[in-house]
Amino acid sequence: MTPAALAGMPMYVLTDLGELRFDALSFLVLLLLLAAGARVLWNTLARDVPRMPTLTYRRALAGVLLLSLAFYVVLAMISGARELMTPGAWERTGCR
Amino acid sequence: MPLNDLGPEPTPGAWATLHPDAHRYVYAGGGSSVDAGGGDPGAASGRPVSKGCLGFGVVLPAGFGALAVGAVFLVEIPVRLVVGWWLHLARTLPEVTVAPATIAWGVGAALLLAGGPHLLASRVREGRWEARWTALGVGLLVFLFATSIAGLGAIHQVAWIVGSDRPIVQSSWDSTPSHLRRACGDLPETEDVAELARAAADRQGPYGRGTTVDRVVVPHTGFEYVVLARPHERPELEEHGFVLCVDGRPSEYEADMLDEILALAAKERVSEEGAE
Repeated sequence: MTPAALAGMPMYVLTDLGELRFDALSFLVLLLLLAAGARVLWNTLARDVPRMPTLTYRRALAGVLLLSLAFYVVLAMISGARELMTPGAWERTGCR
Repeated sequence: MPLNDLGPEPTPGAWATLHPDAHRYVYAGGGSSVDAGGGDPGAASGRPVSKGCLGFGVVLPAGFGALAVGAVFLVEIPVRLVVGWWLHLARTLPEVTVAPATIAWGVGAALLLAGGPHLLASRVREGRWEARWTALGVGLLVFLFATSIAGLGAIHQVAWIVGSDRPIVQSSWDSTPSHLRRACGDLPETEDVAELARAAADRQGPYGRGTTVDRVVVPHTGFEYVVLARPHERPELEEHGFVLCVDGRPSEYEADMLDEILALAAKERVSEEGAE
């Protein structure tokens, strides 16, 4: 019994893992775009507090993105600190 | 159509997660305008061509071009970015479980988060402090936190896609349906992969309830298939199970997985013999 031969032109498609990643990315970007909700809450509050500036959607989105990057820094610091504090995670290779 | 008719030739080193039934495969403008130039019919008639029309005229032929040369992923990626959130929800929501104790803790924490600042603001402020200001403030805080975490997740996903050494694009000859066709095509007609997977799913296995591993060496071909039933909590998988197959030389990562699976299969075989 011999295996059948491949015929035709192959297509280049996303792997299962790639599909899952892009689906998750799509979902997270959708949530990020919901920054419009933050704008509504902010502007409702700004009606009663004259010192607060009103937000446009672009500004709300920029604010949320900026906050995301700040979270990224904080989480990187937390994971870095955990790794530094794990006994045996780092080995000395230089001179004493 | 008999499953054996589906079989193109195998590619060495191939590995995929397969569903045993080929026919039931699970894993399966606005406003602004531009001057289009002298030859454009819109310009000739004095009507501006919108950016949307121009984009459509570029994107659509580019998409067809990508499909024509077999680069399907160039079309797949933008489509996934637009509709993938729905697929993600459809896949993950059925897996969500409700933990009343955790919800109670969350509600308690939210009440404390709102009540504490409200009491403080009411005492500190000389005039009246309205409850809706507290509610709006806390809502804003929670909303910003949630959307920022989503942004963080998006950054993480992009970093993984860009930096991972796992491929996100593969030839269709290495894809899951292709492997399935080969798995079914290379098996003698008397040996049905689906039947093997279903039989495996009925037994207790190392990955949890109803999960087990079987190993199939196809006679006269030299190909070896590992049948792995992995139903998780999904009824459709519990009914049909999954098939992993490998032939030739798997990659280092796949080889590690294969070793692990075969070790588990051997362990299970020994325990079954002991039970007998």
